[in-house]
Amino acid sequence: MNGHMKKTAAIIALALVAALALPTIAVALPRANRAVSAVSTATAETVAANLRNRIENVLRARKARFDAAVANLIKRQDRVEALAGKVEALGGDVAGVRARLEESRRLLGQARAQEEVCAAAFRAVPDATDRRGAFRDARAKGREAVELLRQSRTVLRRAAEELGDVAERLREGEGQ
Amino acid sequence: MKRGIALAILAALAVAVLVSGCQGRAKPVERQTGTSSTLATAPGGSAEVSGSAGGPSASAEDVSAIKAELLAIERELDAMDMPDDGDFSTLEGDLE
Repeated sequence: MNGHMKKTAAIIALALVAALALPTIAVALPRANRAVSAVSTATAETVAANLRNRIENVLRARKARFDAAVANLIKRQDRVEALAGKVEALGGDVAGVRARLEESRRLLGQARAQEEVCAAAFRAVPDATDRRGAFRDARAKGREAVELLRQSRTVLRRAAEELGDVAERLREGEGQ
Repeated sequence: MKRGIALAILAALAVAVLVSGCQGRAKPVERQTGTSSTLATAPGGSAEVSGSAGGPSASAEDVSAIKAELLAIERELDAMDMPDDGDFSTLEGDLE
């Protein structure tokens, strides 16, 4: 009999504990969820901020490299232009060379514009829902900018070769 | 004495006439070579400027100098450091 009473008292105590604990848990759980959510939001923001910093650093280094290549090309375009003036003064026909120079300059302008588009695309990556996709697109834009830069260089090289041929013909003309 | 002075004056005049005559025949010809100009005495004292299409002729030195500079430009263009796709590779790991 005594044992039966003890069992009943234990059941009642457990029921009381449960009755008291359940509302407490019910009240505490949303708060805990909110805390977890706040932590994950803060983490996501930190990740995005870090990515933004990394992108800015990479873009800064890339800009230095790109601008150096542009400055080098402009310097060579000007030198070829000056030499074309000399060859023209000696009686050479440099119309073709000047056309190539103009083409080289046009391509260089396009390359610079495309590089701006590329930089803007990279800056948008941290806020994109599909970051990998946005990154791939931005990178493709950067590739196009470099391709235009290479084309500008190729055309300038052809202009230099052609000017050399025109100059050579002047020398051959003198020998006749 | 007087005859000596007259002979000396005559000799001086003759030398002056000869010198001025030579200068007239061998007149220096200025030739434009783009940025620099060179002075050359035409053979036989002639002052004509040869060349094609109204322009002065290109000397072998002019053309050689121009071609040498053009070759240098071509080499510099070939050796130029260009940006590439690898500039952005370091970002790939930071995307997730």
